[in-house]
Amino acid sequence: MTVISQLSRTLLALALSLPALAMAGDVIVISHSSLNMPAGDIRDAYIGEKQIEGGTKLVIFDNAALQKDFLDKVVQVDSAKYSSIWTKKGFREGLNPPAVKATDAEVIAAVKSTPGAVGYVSKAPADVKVVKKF
Amino acid sequence: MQSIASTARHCAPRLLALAVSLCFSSAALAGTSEQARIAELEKKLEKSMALIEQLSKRLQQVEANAAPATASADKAQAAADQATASAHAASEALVAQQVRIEQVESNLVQVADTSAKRREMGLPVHGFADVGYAYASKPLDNRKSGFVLGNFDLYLTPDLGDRVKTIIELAFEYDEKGNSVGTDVERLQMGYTFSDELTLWAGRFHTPYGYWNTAFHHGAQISPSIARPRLIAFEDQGGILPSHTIGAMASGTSRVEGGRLNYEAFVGNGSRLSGETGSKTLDYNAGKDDNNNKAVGANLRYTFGGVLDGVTVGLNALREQIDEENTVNKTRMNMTGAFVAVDRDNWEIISEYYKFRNQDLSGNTGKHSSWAGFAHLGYAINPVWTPFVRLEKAALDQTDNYFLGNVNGRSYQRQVLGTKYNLTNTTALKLEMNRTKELQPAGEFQYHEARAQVAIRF
Repeated sequence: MTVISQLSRTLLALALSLPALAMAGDVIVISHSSLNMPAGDIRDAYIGEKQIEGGTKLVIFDNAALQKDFLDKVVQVDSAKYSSIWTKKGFREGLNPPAVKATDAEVIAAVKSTPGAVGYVSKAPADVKVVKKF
Repeated sequence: MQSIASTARHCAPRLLALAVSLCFSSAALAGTSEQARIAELEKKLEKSMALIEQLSKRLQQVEANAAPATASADKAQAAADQATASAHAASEALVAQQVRIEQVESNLVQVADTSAKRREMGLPVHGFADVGYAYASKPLDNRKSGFVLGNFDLYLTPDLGDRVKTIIELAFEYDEKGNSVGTDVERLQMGYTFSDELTLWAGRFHTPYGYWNTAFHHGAQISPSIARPRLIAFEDQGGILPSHTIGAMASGTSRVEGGRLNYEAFVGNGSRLSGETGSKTLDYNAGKDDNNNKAVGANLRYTFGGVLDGVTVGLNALREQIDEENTVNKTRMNMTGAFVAVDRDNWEIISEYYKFRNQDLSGNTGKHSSWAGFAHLGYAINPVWTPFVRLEKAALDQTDNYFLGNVNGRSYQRQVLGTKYNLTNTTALKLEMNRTKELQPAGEFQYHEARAQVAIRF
């Protein structure tokens, strides 16, 4: 009886964790509530080709905990190339690279409180504007 | 309810006693009238049966009342359990909310701290520096083989607000004769971004022509080779095009079908040829203009997307009047050019072509046609090692006062072979050698050079 009970609990826990497993690796791009940014401009914004959206200066945030997945899926460059892009952008055009936040929570806090902000997280709370899920 | 059950339990022995007494009674009355006794016994039996029936009904009633009471008790227990669970869930939610509030508070504090730290840390300074060794088979500019201090370049990009952009770049380097360290305000440009399509700049900027001049300039560590192509050398090194301009510039970018369009258009002080006869170089009049003729130019480029992502093609033009110091020579330079740059799939290809249709404004020699170009081809055989080859050629009309007066205004051919090795992401080791053939007034002059360089950025 005890074995059956434990097995049932294990199966239940596994079933409950399946949605979370399916979400592993998701990259969700979020923005400040006042920003209406087309999903097609996300890559341009993160390589310094897009600076203004709807009259608002974009403020871009990187998420150190999720950067590799984001670069793979969205920007489609590796971290060395990404760094090189911003070095050249800074030297040639005077642009500063995105500020780097350490966690989802930091990105969410920064995006919520900064007009024009764009960031990416692994899980977006209900009160944050989602631009696109990758 | 308990008393009723107790009564029922007490009745059972009485009924048993009654049954026993009935047996004994019938034996005792054997001698009396059978009829009377039987009638009396029947009456007693009826009373007993009525009593039994009554007690039975009461027992059933008691049992019937006891069942709902048990169900009510179960319901009450379930309700109590549910209430406990709800209280527990509410408690957990409260704890979770408290944790979230604390997290938000923590984030706000971190944001504030980061902001404060940024202010405390001040403005980040970026830069490039390089040192090296140069060998030449023949004396060039009084230079022989030996170690060289390259360029120490600092640049800042202060964040001055929503739309304001600034680039401040200082370069420290020995002059061409190696006598003293010169400090150059390499760039000092301030811009305001109206939209992605329009940023207006004012100040001193890198003249936007071709690809190399604005892409690498003094950034030795990001530059594909040690030496720039000679035809786009810096002004004080005998370049035939002004690599800097003082003036105003508009720049912008726009997504178009299949790619992205970028442009720069500018107006600035015209250049002049200055210095001693035979070694004159371009002076782009950084302090003040020597005449009212302004330099006007533009650079338009298209960067492909999709399968050709990383490929850029462009057109550029420059027009200005150049007066030669201490002479009457005046030339209107008319340059048009085209370029292609590829930065993808391990390839680094840069090719630029310039066509000159210069007009003599001081004499009667008319228009002069010249051209110059180079093709640089690099291939990264792994993430750190990129060998390259470059071909350069310039066919410059020596009856054109502009080229005749410039120290490096001779036709030439150069082949360059080298490699760039990235020790780290910010440190590059480069080796290269070249062979040059130059058509000087006295005849053909050939030489070769070898260079080594360590270049860093920070």
